[in-house]
Amino acid sequence: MTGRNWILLLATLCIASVLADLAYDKHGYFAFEHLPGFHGFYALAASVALGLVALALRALLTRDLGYYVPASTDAEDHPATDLERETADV
Amino acid sequence: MFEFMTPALVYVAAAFALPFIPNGRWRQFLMILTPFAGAALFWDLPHGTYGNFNLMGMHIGLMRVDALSYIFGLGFSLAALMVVIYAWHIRDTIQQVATLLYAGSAIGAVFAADLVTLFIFWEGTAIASVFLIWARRTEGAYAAGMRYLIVQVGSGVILLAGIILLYRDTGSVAFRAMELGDAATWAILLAFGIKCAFPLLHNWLHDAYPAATVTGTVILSAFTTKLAVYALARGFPGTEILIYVGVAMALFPIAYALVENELRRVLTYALNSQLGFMVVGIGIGTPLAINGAIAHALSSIFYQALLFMSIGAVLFRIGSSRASDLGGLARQMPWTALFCIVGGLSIAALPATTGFVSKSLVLSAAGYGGLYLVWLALIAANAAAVLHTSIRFPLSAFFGPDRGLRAKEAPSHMLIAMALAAAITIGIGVYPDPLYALLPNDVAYEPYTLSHLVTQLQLVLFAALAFALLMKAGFWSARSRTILLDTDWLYRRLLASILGIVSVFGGGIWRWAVVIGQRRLDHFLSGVYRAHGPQGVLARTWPTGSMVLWIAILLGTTLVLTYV
Repeated sequence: MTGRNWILLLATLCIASVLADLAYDKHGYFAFEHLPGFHGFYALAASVALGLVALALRALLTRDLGYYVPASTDAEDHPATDLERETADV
Repeated sequence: MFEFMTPALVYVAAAFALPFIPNGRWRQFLMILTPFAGAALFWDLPHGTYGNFNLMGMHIGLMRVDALSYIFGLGFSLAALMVVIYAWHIRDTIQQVATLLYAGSAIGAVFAADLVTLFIFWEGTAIASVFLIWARRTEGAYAAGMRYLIVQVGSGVILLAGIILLYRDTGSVAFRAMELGDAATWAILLAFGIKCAFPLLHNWLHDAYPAATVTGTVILSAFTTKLAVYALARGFPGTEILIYVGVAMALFPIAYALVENELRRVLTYALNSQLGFMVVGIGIGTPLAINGAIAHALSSIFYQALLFMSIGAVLFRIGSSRASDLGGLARQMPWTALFCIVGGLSIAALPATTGFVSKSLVLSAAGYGGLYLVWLALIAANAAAVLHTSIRFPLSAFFGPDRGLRAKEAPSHMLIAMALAAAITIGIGVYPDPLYALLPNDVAYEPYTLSHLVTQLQLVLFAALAFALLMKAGFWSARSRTILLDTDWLYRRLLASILGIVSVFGGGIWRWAVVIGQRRLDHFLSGVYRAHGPQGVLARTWPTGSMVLWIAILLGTTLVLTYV
């Protein structure tokens, strides 16, 4: 399934969940929770907002793997003695 | 009833016996049996304090069995069993001994009735666990382990300072609920906060856990931070400041978890965010909130371990846990992928998982308390967990483009451990009554209401849509082998640079002082040499006749002066 189709499927399910909100008596803790689809739209807005913050963070704080070398494992290969690499044909 | 009763001693005894048993089946059976033997010690004990004695006037209680210690003791025992199964292939005696001592110390700490016993086991977890990092046996791991040890032992020293102050003020070392106010309680809270990875005290978690061995990271994820949650729940329930600390904890790590490349570190940020939920619950302090914090701590032991175990299995087979190196492994490691998805669904609090039945308690407590900003922050953190762990994490490792990686499925013992964690995650999620029955406060709560189900599903679906939209916009397209700086940069780079500058200046000043001092000393010594040297005035030898002549002159002068 392509990315576009995933978005369409998810959007359809999201709309269905908002419509479901209208079909029952919602018991929320706050008045604003009773807005149809509040949880969903808030989650969408918060996720996108946090994503944008993360984008800014990545732009500012990204460094090469070797930045803290040698006092860091970031650039090290994991020691082979701790691994059991077994390959398989699929 | 013998005097020194605590399940920790079972683990300590097993750890000491272990090196003397041939490395093989018998040793593995001893490791498997230890959690059972430890749990058998408190399984059906009536509530009360056991192993009581006086130590220099302080009342020590090695094992307090009550609802709070019992549920954590049980959870830690199950976690110990799970990690021992996961680490079944390990033949490294150091890691085996460290695992038992670490798990035993954590269990000993939750049963401690007094702060002295707590302190001993608190330091025990720090010292035993660092060997799980050093067992990687690389220069980077050694450095990360040293940083971890300094922070963890530092937490213990601060705890000890708090205990001493508290004993001086109150004359008691009993570990019970405290009122935050004086230096003693602030020190104890700070010590707990370091181990709980409070904001700005959190770096050790993201620095050390990904530096451990394959199994070491899984073992570390199960105990240290949950022990801190227990200590906060025991010592500071209803402490308001914890609500705000918890909110910051829930939100602060999200941005890192969304873009970090090292997937084991993504999980540490996700773990840090989930700890925020627990700290909020403890801060709210109502019976429902405390139940929520404890239930979430218990459930997160298993779903978080499930996630760590799945990426550990990938690392075990592929040799990397970086998102930039992975992808398309689901066909080759289908069971591991499935268990990873179960862990991911639980952190998203999808219905039928432990995350749903435990996180709901904290959210409801915030709702009933009218804390709408706190509630909104936690809902946002919940939505973000869908992005960074439920979807991005399995997508990076198991789905997405095939990078030509060819690996066998995880070994059967790892799959059994993951299956155990998944069974607990789904079992308690579907039927939460056994978990709720163990919680310390008797509060009726029904997580599966229509309202809860629909709103939570809606939240997860919209968060998934947000992920898809961000992905479509190319948010995760740049997969590069990089790191993200965190606040540990302040002491790993900035402080190191400042110390370097101070060292250069200090060295210059020292050299200048040495030169000047040397000149002064030379000048002084040459003066002394002039006076006392072979040719010096004071070193000349005078003839006895001269001396007699001078004395005669002196006496004559005195005689003349007397009669003048």
